[in-house]
Amino acid sequence: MFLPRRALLFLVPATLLAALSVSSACAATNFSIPLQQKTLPNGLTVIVSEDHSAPTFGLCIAYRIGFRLEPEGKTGFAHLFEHMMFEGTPVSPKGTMDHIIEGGGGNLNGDTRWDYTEYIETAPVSALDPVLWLEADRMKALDFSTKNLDNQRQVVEEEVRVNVLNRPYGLFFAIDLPMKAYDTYPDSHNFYGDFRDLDAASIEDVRAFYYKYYAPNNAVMAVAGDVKAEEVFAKVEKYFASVPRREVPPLLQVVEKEQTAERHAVEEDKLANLPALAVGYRLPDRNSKDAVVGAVTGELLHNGEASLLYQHLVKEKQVAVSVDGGANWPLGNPFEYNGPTLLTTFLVEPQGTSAAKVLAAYDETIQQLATKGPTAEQLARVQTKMRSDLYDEMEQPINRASLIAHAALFDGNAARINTIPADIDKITPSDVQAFAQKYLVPRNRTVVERNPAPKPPAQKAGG
Amino acid sequence: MPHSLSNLRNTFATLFAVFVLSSLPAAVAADIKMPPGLPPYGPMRLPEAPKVKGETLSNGLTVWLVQQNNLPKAAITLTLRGGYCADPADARGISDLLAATVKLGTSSMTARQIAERSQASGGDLKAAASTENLTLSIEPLAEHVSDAIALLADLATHASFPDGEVELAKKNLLSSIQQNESDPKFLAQRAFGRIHYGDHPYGVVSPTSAMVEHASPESLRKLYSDTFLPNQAVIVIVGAIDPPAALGAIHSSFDHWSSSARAGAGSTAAAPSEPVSAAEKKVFFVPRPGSVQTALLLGAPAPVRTDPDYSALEVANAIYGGMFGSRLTKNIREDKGYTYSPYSYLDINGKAGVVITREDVRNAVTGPSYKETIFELNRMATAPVGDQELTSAKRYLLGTLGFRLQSRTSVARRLATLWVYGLDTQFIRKDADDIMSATAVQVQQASQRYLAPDKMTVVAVGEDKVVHEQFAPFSLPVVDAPKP
Repeated sequence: MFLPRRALLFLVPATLLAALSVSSACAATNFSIPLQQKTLPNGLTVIVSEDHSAPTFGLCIAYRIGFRLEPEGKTGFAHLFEHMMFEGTPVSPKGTMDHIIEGGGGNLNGDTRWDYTEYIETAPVSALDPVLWLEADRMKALDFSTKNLDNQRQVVEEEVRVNVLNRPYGLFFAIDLPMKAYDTYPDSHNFYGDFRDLDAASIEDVRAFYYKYYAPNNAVMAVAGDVKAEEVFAKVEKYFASVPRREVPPLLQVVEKEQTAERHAVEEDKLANLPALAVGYRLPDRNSKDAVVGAVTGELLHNGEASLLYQHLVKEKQVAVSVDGGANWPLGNPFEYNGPTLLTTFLVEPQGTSAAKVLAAYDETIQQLATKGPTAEQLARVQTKMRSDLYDEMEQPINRASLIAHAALFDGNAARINTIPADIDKITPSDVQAFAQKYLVPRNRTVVERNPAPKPPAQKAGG
Repeated sequence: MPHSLSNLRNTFATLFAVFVLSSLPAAVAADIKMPPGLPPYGPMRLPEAPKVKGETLSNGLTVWLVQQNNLPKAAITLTLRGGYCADPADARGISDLLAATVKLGTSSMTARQIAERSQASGGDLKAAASTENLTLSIEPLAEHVSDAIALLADLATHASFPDGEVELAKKNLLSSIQQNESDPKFLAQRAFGRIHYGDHPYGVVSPTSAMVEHASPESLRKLYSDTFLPNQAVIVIVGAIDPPAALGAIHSSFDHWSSSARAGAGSTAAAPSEPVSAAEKKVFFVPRPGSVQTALLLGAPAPVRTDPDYSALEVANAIYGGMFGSRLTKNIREDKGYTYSPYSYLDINGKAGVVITREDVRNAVTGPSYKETIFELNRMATAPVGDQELTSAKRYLLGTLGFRLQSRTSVARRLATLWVYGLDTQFIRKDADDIMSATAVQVQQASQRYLAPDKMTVVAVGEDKVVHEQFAPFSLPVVDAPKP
């Protein structure tokens, strides 16, 4: 899988504790996770979050490189490269890492997104030293084997087949929608990769990409779980200190032309049985106050069966059978991006409705937000739910490490994950209303219809 | 991402007390050589077994509480014996509709009020049916646990099945069935269930459209009153709770739930008879025009959890296809590049189980993928596993079980599953011990019994012409899978 390991999240503190609480936890509103940080001389940032409730740990190394930085003509390369990070090094050949981590009772994985690529592990604490050693090893050099590249090229193409080409809807709401919504190559290319680009990727490309982006000073490592921060810092020093700092290119500043009119596309789907629709509104810059309002608005519209879109489209108007979406959905939470992103809706329609009817009902929901805003009660409920979802994200050490690493990577400040709740708590109904008026307008959105293709007659066997 | 954490999703995680493994050097290598300088593993210690506080209410409802305080959250599950096995014989699977509608109204709340109350607690209220149970679950913030308990109790005792809501839920379930018809994995699993289990409810993966169309508010109310009985239910709460206070909240919400005269219903099904299909040596084909991959499924009978072979088969499965470093993944992914995420898993019900291999392979290598899969199954059955892979698989299984014990939801679900099957923590501890003590001989014996190629029922979902041509070299007849 390459789509998100997790669903949405995010937070808010300060709801009243019921007088007769069955909770034994200390005041939940004060809950925050401990964080200790250190930066090595080579620039590697290390953050530790201790949690001694179980003898395990989770680890995430996130590198500041994702789809957005893929060169033209090399669509899909950041992700193909991610696969190559599991294909061995000069001292630890292909298969060794899997064997050592799984044989230590652990699991390992990787994810590529628009603005980061992460490598994650979880295991009993007894495997901490070998895991750190292996991560340091693959930060020093890779095997750069043409044979392994050819193999992973095939594997990635099978991944694209299973997730896109052989799957109903083929992730069009994650791939085709941003391609239509943006104009510059970095933001509007097929991140999974055209096969001709994947086929053209060479081992020299792998080598160049590695030395360009996979430097300790371009990474953040987070460790969460049953560890002592000082011990982790000492171990990281021991294993990573010899990895040299390298020159890393400055982050790309992508400037999209302002959108001036609604964009609309219609696609055919040869596998799906029901029509579907995706809507994407361009979101404000992630560091603006409006971005936080966008995150909350996304959850008001999409979070569960109480959400505004579910209630209006599925229950009242009955023009959708399911609705999903949110800010920066589905490839991350509302804070895990570093360039343009969308507030996305993906919905599946019942047979016999029309895209025009669905959009009319959709616009009624948006209009309601723009003219009246949410009720105080609706907003408070969603804020509670976002906090609860954030805690879910913090439960497993592997996910907690990921959350911490992303915050540090994008904000230079891991403690952001403990302060975002307060930011969200400040949002008022009129903030949401103003946001809807400003951003949730037709000239700021892209709509992609996806309709089942007429079914070909079943072929007969036997030729 | 290159590795799928879902590979082992269906293995059965367990509960156990502190379990200390001897400190092994990382370099126990046989086939894989440890890199020079690699530090050794420390002594492996697994999480303690959750301490379960149990009680039975006077109406027969079982209560299991586990305090776990590191986050201000709780997972609550109310699980009832029932599901597809207790559905009417002409409507196996209709529990899916019961699950979809039970949260759409009570005598005092509308569907919208229920959804909003769930959101206000910080939770997502879910209702789901499966082979042998039906479950309501929610994960509220700690301070809203008593409200979430009251919400579940209201659904369990006063669900109203309003006409309009049932009508819409039926339409949406029909749409969802229609969507499933385009999903290769669903098509493969449905065909396998039908072929392997025949008419037995263990083979059911979904209701048919006709069953859904025939259902009514009245038929759902009847199924509801047959299923929602306190002496056929367990409520499990795992999280930041004060157990006496949580128990008090359960008493005040659930004490009035009375067992009707039908008490004792919802019993699980009889054991299915031996499947005969595997001996027939054929490939069951499900057409899916437009496919660029063939979805392959190979499945065979597997023992229940109390069987002495069970743990050895868990280890065999990990070595064969259950972990990333498995033989199957090394072969058809990391060596041949035929597929992205091949995997195998055990799917075990109360009286019978199956071991399943799943892989999606590009059309042109359907035959070669099948051939390599059979090769690996045969190798498991005919030769002992190596020391290195045996040690690695055992440690992987125990580590992964420990990993799952950190999830409130996972612990709650697993405890509920134990209760459904009438198993207790003692049994689970034995299972963990058995994994560690499994020998190469036991693993090979289990493989001979359950993984041998001639035990497998083979299903292929994809393009008609592709599947027929690709299996032609194996002299295997390709026959149409039975209609659902």
